[in-house]
Amino acid sequence: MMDVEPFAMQALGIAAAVFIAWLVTRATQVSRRPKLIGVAAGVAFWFAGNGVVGLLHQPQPLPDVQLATLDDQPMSLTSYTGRPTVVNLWATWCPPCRREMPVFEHAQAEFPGVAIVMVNQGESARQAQAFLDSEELSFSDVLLDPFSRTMQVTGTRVLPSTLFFDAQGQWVDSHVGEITTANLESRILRHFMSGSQLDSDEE
Amino acid sequence: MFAFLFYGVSGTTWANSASFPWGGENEFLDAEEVFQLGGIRHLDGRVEATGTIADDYYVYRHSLKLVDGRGDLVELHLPTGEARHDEFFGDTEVYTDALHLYFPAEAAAPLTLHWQGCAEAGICYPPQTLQVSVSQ
Repeated sequence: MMDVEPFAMQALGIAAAVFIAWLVTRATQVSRRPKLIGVAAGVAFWFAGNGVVGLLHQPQPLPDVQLATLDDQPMSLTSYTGRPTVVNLWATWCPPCRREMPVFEHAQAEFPGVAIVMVNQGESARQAQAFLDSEELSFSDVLLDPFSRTMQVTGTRVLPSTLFFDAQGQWVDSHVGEITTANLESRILRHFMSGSQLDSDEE
Repeated sequence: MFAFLFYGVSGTTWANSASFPWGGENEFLDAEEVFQLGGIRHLDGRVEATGTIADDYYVYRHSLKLVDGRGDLVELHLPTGEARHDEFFGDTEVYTDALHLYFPAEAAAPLTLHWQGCAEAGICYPPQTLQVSVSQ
């Protein structure tokens, strides 16, 4: 499915409002108040459209879920606030999750200013560690979520899923399913590299 | 015309937000739509149920477990699945389309079927359960 940019939505909303105003105006040309009705309908429609967009783009912060590191130290995702953060939800029993792991390992080296956080869903430290060892994968941030709370809080129903949070800890994008290197890089560039988000890390 | 326009403007985002509140794309089915159980038939001492799997999805044979009201495992007879090599499970069997499964009629309700599966397009569902209704 498509990504929806708020700008595009607003432009569409305005275009639709104008079109509806025209339709209503045309349909009520015999009336004495055609323009008023048309404009009122258009404006109402435009506001309704904006309300929907506003709701969809309500700020969603990094989920404050109690997680643990592989050596059993408590850790919350909120502690990544301050850096752009990519959260990947995975499990060892999920073949597409296993396949895309090297993509994230690569991104971790490519974008040192971005936190790449691999949050395992529903498994033990032993299971996660055994998998990482056997695949010779090395991540600086692997967290455990034995009760899959991150999936619940974010409404994620399938694995793998990848969530993108800006340096303020606000959710900006999601990708459901296996991700390619090109797709991950383009999202990181688009969301995190256009402004000054990384400057503080690179200084 | 009005309805069509309105849908054109807002339909996509609503569909997204309904299935994935945090937005983003989600062209995958909900787990409840992936694997469904029906066609319950009582056949001399045992029950036959028909599991239906959505196109382009599969269910792992080894993941199917039936648990009775007491929490005990119920003996489940399953057909041979389609052989598949899986990155995690190794040589395994999966079901696509449909399968018939059988269990003893005396199994104590409520019965819960556990399953796990994936989409060919590259996503997997965490372990799922569904209630089996065997009312006569």
